[in-house]
Amino acid sequence: MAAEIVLEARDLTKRFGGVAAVNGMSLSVSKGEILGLIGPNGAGKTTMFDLLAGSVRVSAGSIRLMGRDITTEPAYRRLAGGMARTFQIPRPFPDLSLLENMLIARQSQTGERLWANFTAPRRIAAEERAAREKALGLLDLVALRRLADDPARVLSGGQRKLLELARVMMADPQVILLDEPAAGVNPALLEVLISRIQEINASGVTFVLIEHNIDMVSRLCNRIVVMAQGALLFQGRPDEVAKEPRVIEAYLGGASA
Amino acid sequence: MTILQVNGLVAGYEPGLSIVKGASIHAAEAEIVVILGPNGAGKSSLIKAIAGLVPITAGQVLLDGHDITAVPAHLKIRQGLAFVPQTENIFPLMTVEENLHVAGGILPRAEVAPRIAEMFETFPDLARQRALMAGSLSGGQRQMLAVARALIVRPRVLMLDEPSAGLSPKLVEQVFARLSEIRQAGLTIVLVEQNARAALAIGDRAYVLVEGREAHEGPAKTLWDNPLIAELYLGHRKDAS
Repeated sequence: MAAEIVLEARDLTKRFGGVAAVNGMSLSVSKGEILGLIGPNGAGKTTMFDLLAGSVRVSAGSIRLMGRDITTEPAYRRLAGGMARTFQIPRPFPDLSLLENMLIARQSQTGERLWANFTAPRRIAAEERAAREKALGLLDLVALRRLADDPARVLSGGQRKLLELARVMMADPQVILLDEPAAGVNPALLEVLISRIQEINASGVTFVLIEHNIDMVSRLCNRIVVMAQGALLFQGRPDEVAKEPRVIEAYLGGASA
Repeated sequence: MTILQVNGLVAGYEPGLSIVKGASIHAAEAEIVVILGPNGAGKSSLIKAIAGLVPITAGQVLLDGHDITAVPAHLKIRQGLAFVPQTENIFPLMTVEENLHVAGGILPRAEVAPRIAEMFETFPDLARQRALMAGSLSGGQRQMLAVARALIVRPRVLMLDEPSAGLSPKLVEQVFARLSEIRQAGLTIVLVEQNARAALAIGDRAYVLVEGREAHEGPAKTLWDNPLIAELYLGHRKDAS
């Protein structure tokens, strides 16, 4: 029962001027879990991700990743430490190809070290081949493989979200924060993504999912945290969340019926 | 009566790289037409091209029988064709009221204030927040403001690019209910959406756009129930919902 906690936020607060976007929010995520984070627009969900991933600094509170205090660590160190996030509005490098955008996301490449290029050229070549294969496989998954050599600027809004999702997988993270992966994605392709997230999860990767597509959240998550006005409103199983009057009032509206 | 008629439209951002590849659609007065399709099919580009924001290389756009294909975007709005982009559709550092003022700028000066008052009547939420910076509105209110900015000039056709994206279920319901009401007043609405369920619920007719042109067309209700389309583009099987 006592599952290992991989990500834990305690009493997180973020103030922008006089406004507390996140106000004393706590969260703990167990290894192998897919945790849903939902709530009305402006509840502070994305700010919560910004704090967890290190995109903005916390005003108060603490964050632990796999037992290590990362509260003051910069974003890139948290990525190296095994946690990656996607953005709601992705900004790929417009003039790089999709494949290049993917390869950049890979962590600690041997070829990045100057001398290794002279002392271990074969190893670097083998690594790069493997990375290429992996990148193409991931692009295939999100239905973008046929565009692999095209510049990212040709992608539509929805396709950018898909590239973002594929790119985050390149870093082999242990914990993945997904910010509205379904918005703008065609429903048929979404079915493919849902089953792929389930597969990756089955291999031990933990997810935190911000999403307004309640069908997707209910199918993927066994626990949902509902935020409102920067703080915890409710948490529970999807069926408990769906019939909680406070959640219906603040968030679901008639859609839950 | 057909208000908007698009014939064999070809359009794209870069020369030699068409995204819209011969699309033909039409919309009647007070009709809600939904455009669905896979990612990268050219849905957003199609309505942006109609609005004059993506270069058109072939085909025609007719508004009320007049050819407006070559009319620049800022004059299309004067002729009654309004477009609400998916993002960056308001000025975040202006107040709600200032946003409406700017949008109403093409109206005769004496009409602007009464028209803003009418918009506040239609969108009471915005009236309460008239003095707030638009950038501090919540997602749903921001979308309402974007719609109000388009409506203030009394367009005949309103085109929207994924108004539901990023909105909570409750707000999606509100935005779509409001669009339904606006249509009652005689406005034609062309809606690009991935939220097929919500869009088809208020839509009259729908197109499925595939690789830059329309592959299917039909009444919104039958499209949702068509098993082939459901499986290929809507992601639900008939037995599943």
